[in-house]
Amino acid sequence: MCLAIPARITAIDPTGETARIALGAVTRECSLALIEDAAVGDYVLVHVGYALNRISEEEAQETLALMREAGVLVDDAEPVLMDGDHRAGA
Amino acid sequence: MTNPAGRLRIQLHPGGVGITSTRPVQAARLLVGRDTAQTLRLLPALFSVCASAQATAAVTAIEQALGLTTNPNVAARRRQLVAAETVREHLWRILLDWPCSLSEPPDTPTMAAAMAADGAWRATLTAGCDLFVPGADAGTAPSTDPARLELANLSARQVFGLTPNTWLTQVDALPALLTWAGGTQTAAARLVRRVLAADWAGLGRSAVSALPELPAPDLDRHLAGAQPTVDAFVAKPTWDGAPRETSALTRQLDWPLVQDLTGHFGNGLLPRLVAQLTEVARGLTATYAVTGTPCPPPPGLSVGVGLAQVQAARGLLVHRVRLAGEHIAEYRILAPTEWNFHPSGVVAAGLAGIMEHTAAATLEPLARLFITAVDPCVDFDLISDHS
Repeated sequence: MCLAIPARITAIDPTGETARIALGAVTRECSLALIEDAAVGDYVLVHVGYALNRISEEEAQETLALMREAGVLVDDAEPVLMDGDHRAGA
Repeated sequence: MTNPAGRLRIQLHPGGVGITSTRPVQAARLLVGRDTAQTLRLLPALFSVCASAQATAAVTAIEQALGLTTNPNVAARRRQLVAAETVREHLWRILLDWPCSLSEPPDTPTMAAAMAADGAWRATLTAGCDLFVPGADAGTAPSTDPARLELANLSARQVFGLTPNTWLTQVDALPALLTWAGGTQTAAARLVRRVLAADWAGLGRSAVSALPELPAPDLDRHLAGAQPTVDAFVAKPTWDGAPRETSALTRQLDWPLVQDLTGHFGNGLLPRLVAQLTEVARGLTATYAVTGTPCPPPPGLSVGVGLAQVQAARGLLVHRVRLAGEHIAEYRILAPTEWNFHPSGVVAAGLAGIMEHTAAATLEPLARLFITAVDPCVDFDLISDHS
């Protein structure tokens, strides 16, 4: 039952080691140490503070929709709207 | 925002140990009403950390519910995929968490390389066939696999200091483990050395016993009842009225080295660490899980019901499905973290023992190491009110 959470990279620090990710209505930091060539705008699966791998936006939105349906995403967990972004599940 | 994956809250206080969980153990309900193809696509996407174990449990349960016998080559390839996932998950602990116990940074470069090699290994195992459709057919897996060899070489350099095969052969009991730990400079060896030198090897030992083999009809009775009863069972499972453990340690109890260590240290800290090392080494050997036998549905289940038991990285993963035609009428999942992090389970009992025998200054790092040695599948908060 190990859920990895899809999140969107919104910023990468100058060292390239950590990123700000949009995870629900808040942003947080995660490590990029385990993946290569991550870029702002990528969707990644995040587990215990590490980005594990990139996934497509379509996969990310489908997984988020599933989590919402399963009740494991709460009401304030809508992905943050960014410029040019689409709201998940809308 | 709450973390959708959930967290464990583990509290050490003068009266004992408290464990609470926000893991979404009833998430499988969302599969009800979907067809089997959707279910098999969605489950590994949702539970992506242990996707191979989840996909194997799901497709096996659905095959059983459809009355299909699993092809032996397919069964073997699925087991190899789960073994690859198990190696990767143990390496996560060994490379990222164990160095922290030595006040060193996590070895992220090696873990990144391990994840890349693991991905290539999995691609080899799934090349040319879809293993996760009911009734799948496949040839035998390739006998040589460069990606597995790469992972074995990486583990030889960064974990064992020897090839995994040589480590398995040479390190067969406590004296050989002492020799290996004393003469090897990897973080894994140095942690073993430190645990032995500090007399921490038996810390956390308890009387909580291993989960025995579960006959399908008995397990089915626990998972087939009314929803509130099943929800209570999968959240805090017990067997024969007692909490049980299912983990790398319980899987490796028959391996000579682990058997010798449990003779000295029970189910304490060192046997747990060594069981994870053993499972990595065994999983990387060329002959691990390469042959399969046809797997018919287990006897004693109702028509339309499937009950799969898969040894995932962290212990026994159970999926039970009841089909109505092609659609899911019921879906229940019982995961290893709920056994091991039961409020009266092996972690609670082990931490209570560690609190009794450990000075306040070292309590928190030792408790953290013990928890990761049992290995929860989600992050945890450790709160110490103990003084």
